[in-house]
Amino acid sequence: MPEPVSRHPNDGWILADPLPMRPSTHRAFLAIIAALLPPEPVLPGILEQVDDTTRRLLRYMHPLMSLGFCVMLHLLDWSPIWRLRSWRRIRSLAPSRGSEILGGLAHSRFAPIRLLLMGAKGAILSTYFDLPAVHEALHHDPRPFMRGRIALRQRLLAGGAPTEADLIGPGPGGKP
Amino acid sequence: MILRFGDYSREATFDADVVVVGTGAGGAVVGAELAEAGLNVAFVEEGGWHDTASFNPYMTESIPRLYRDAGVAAILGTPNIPFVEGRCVGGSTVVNGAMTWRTPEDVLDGWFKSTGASELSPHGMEPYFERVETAISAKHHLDLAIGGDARIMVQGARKMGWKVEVNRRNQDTCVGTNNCVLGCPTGAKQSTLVAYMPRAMKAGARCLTEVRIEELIIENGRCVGVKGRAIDPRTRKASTPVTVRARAVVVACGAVQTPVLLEKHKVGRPSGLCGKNFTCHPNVKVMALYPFEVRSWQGMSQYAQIREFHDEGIVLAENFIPPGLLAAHLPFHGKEAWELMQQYDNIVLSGALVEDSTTGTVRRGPMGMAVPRYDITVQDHARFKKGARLLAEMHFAMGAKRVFLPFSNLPWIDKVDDLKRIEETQKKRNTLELFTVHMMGTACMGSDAQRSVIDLNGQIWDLPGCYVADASIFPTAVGVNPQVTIMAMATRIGERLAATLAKA
Repeated sequence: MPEPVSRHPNDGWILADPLPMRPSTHRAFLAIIAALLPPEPVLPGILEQVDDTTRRLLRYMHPLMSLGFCVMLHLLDWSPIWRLRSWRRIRSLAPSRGSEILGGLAHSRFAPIRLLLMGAKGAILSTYFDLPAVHEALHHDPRPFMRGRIALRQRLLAGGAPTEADLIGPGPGGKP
Repeated sequence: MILRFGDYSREATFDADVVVVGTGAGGAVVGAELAEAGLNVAFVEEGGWHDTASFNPYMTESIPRLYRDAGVAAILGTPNIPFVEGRCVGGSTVVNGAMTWRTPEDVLDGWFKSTGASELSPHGMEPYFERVETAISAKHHLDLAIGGDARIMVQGARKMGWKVEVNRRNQDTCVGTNNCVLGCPTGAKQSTLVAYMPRAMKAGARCLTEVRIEELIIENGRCVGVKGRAIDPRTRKASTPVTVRARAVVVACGAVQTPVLLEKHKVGRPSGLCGKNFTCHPNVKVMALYPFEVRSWQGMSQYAQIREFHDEGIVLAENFIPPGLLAAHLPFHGKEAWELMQQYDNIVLSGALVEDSTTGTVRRGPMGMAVPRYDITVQDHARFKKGARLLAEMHFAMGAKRVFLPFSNLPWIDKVDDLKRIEETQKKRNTLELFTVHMMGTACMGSDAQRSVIDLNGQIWDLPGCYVADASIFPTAVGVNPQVTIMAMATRIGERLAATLAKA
């Protein structure tokens, strides 16, 4: 049995396969991921991990939503052209230039244009900031704390008394 | 007995006294009541059964397991409102903040007046609230579960001179892992997965998981079962047909999915209200960056609520979310997103919930997709701006160095004086960024078939044998977290249905 709060819980659940995408859609997707991810830190294989994980999540959406997501990728890919910022699609631009052009969509007066970016950014960044390598680079690891709290609860349920050390910081814990 | 995708033979057919569609705050409660009354109950749940030991703090694994549509859904309107709902055994109770507010007395008085049913009055509902609160262990927390973000909110409210009320939550010895939205890994949260489903299963109920119900079986004008298909876990496509025949059907899929199922059969015709009267308690998020560590990921969700502005329909509270979810809401990407997320331990997320002043609709769209529609009013717009401004003032008073606002054209400010820019810049509703988790009212209960979808027993007026027991039955919005109201109403419906079936 894996330790409590580990990734990949062994409860028989099968994570869906990645949603297949047409090659052109997939190229657009990879280019948009590259444009939206932070350039630093450089983490090996991170683009592929974001791609794989996000396409698995797409499987869980309503088919019309995942289809809409794919259409949105093409609209974003073509955005430098329809916004008259470049004659090339995002896939043909350097990620830094793509990032700059996509960033401009956030300030559009038109809500549907802002939504285009919001949808892609939400899916890609939420996946990225959940990956183990990124948590490590952020020095964020909630597992030791959570395991300690699980043990604390078992101790309390067994009749143990709480101590001052059980309060949650930073600073003096307890009632405000 | 718990069944999963691999357990369904080519065409699986089951018989039961009652089939309950959904296992959230409504379905699990009504099913447990019926099973303990000696009836043969079969639950059908679209999601899977995930035990406490399987919960972890990782959203890319938890969101597809526990949330409908991987948490990607929106109410259309001005502005669009993203929403989430649970899809697992336990439903949204597995992923909610565990608030246990009773329905306010003025709301129940209104229901009593509009229906003439004294059972819906505060006095009539009292025994059901008591039963539910005992079952889910609704009480105050141990001090050791209080986290840094809760202390900032309470101290901030006191500094501003605002009234704060500590929440009672459905928990037993909560120790503050602050993983409420991805499933409580300690088992302290008394979701229906923990508090009700084991009772139902012990009383002999069956739970058919990973099955999406697509239609009701109607024979001679009476509902006698449901038909659906098991979902292939690898492709997420509907595959093996599953049929459950029963003496009664209880639909408890939530206020968005329930009307979609009912509309397929065009029920609710006398009043035409099925899918209408939709309310959703929209809220805005305000995020504050502090110059010191807060570590919001330790503690609990919503230790207290600021209720100073409750008379104006505004409630303020803190609400932690894990890094992946937080990143989805940042006004940045690339380098700026990374720089902000490096200060994740210094961030406090808070929200302002606004009571509905209008209603929307939920319609059945192409391929059975739910299409909710809701437009906020001018009055709501003003209240959202006020709620965001109040939270920002409080965060600056507590020392925040930057506050992120829910406005697409004013995403953050760095000093309290900049708050005046809210009025200058926020003229249109579509620059507001909203969110919701409290959907209600789309199959409302009443005593008159011309003004409601279900009768006082929970039965659909024009479809005998089919009952509804979830947030869709609320005649009006409740103005508080709806979990306990749903559970109390479901207890009442379960009790009455058990008596009806016993007589039959």
